[in-house]
Amino acid sequence: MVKQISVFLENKPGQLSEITKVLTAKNISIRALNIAEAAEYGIIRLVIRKHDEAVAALKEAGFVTMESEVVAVKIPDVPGGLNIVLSTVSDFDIQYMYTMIDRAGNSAFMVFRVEDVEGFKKIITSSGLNVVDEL
Amino acid sequence: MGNYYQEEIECADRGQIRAWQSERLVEQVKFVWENVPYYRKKMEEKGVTPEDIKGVDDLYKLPFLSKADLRDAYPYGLMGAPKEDIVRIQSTSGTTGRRVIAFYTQNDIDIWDDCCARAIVAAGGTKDDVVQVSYGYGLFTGGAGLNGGSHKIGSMTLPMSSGNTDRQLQFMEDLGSTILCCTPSYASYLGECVEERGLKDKIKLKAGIFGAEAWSEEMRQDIQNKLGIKAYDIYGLTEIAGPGVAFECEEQRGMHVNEDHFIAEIIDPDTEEVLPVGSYGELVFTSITKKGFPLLRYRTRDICVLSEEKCSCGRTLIRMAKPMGRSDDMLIVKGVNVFPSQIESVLLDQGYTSNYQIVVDRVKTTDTIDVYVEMAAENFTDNLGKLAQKEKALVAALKSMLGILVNVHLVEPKSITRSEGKAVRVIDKRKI
Repeated sequence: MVKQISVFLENKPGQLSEITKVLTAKNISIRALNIAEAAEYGIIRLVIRKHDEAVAALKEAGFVTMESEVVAVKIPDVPGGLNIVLSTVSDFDIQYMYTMIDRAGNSAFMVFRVEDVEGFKKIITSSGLNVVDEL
Repeated sequence: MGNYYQEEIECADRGQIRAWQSERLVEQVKFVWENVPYYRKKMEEKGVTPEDIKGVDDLYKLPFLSKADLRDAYPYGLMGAPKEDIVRIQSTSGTTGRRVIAFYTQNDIDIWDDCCARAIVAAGGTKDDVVQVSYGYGLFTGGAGLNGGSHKIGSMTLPMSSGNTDRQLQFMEDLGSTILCCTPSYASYLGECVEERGLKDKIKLKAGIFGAEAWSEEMRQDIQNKLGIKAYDIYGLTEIAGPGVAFECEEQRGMHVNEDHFIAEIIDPDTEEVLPVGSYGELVFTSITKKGFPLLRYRTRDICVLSEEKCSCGRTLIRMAKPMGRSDDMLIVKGVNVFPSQIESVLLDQGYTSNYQIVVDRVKTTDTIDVYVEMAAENFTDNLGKLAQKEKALVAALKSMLGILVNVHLVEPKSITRSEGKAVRVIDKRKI
């Protein structure tokens, strides 16, 4: 299962580095990252292997956090690869998604946030696509 | 039925209370006439003499005192007893202008301590309790008042004063404090710390007595939950005595005024006319037993309502509602009256915390009001659209409460400075 940590951040200079400082101090590395921003605040979403440790560290540092399960789908490395994935789930209500590229493994992944995680996974796997358990 | 400190007074027949008030008022007016030239002059200007005051029904004939009078008569002009009989002074926190200095004889201190003792007993206090007084000590009346009341009951009293939160929590845990007395904003902060540090099961608090600030019902719930206690309101002002002028019982439905010492009236703040019980208006107090600083018909500028309805706690003392705020706290924004307590109650109702700040400014000729509120875990979601919806809902709720548009800013937790005494809720840049 891939877990995501969302953190509330005010939109002002240096705020993002407050988070990276906390994670660096605990020797925690980030696998995937995405930011959604409004005028005055934003939400940073993180996928981290040391998930529980990261949540504890961020909470201790006073951040408001939220944990949720996301679905990471491996994108076939062919032209139109993303299109194959998206066509498969075109009927699904996707809240948001973002990419993650693993240079070492030469693979690209799409991280999806959906309400119905199990249903989403079922459609993906029954179409012969790969859901990964860890990023 | 509850616990009483002085049952024969707190549960006396209403007729008896009125008789005490009449008798004491007549005596007090004579005393003031003879000993406070400043007030005597005011009476003479109004054509009133002590002979005109035969009882409570004649109270309306007396002139009012206001904060302006305290300024004019500063420092000794309103002192009643001779200086050699004064044993103590206390002073206001000075949050709204010039400091007020009040004088106490030993008997005044005893009266005040009794009033605070009634409040502590009403909150369940006995000599077996450990009372942690985390109001400021010194000139501020909070620490001195509750300290005195706690001594009267014979409770073990921890004179903590405000601040040094680590030490507060340490003593609370190590000595097993059962009753906490401080400002509601500090109680809320202590509650936050207790939660964060996982101390809730280690502390033995059962009740809290919180005053010196306007606070909402929602904030009461919040403090009660965080600390696992019953939270009691207490009312007072330095000019009249300090905390204990009125106190809450277990019913938590208004504060019983210690009417054997203080007469409460509600007036129309504009016409100065006395309003019938049950009307909203400005609260006015007359001190009928204290001699050091015997203020008659002092206008508190607190807006509230009185109730004579019988209280199930058994007390017959009249009750005053939580003041909506001192009229000094009231902001006039775009011509509309705004009490910070109204904003607070909306915030808590919408799931935010009581950590907020209100900034009022004027851009060219238009007033602006901005509320900065900390994002709370229960309101956070990872979906930007939903977050914006919640923010919109908050703006709408504020608009429906106040009738004006408020700019809301969601900020990170802990970004609003915590208070150890009276919280700084409002920054009015129009005055800077």
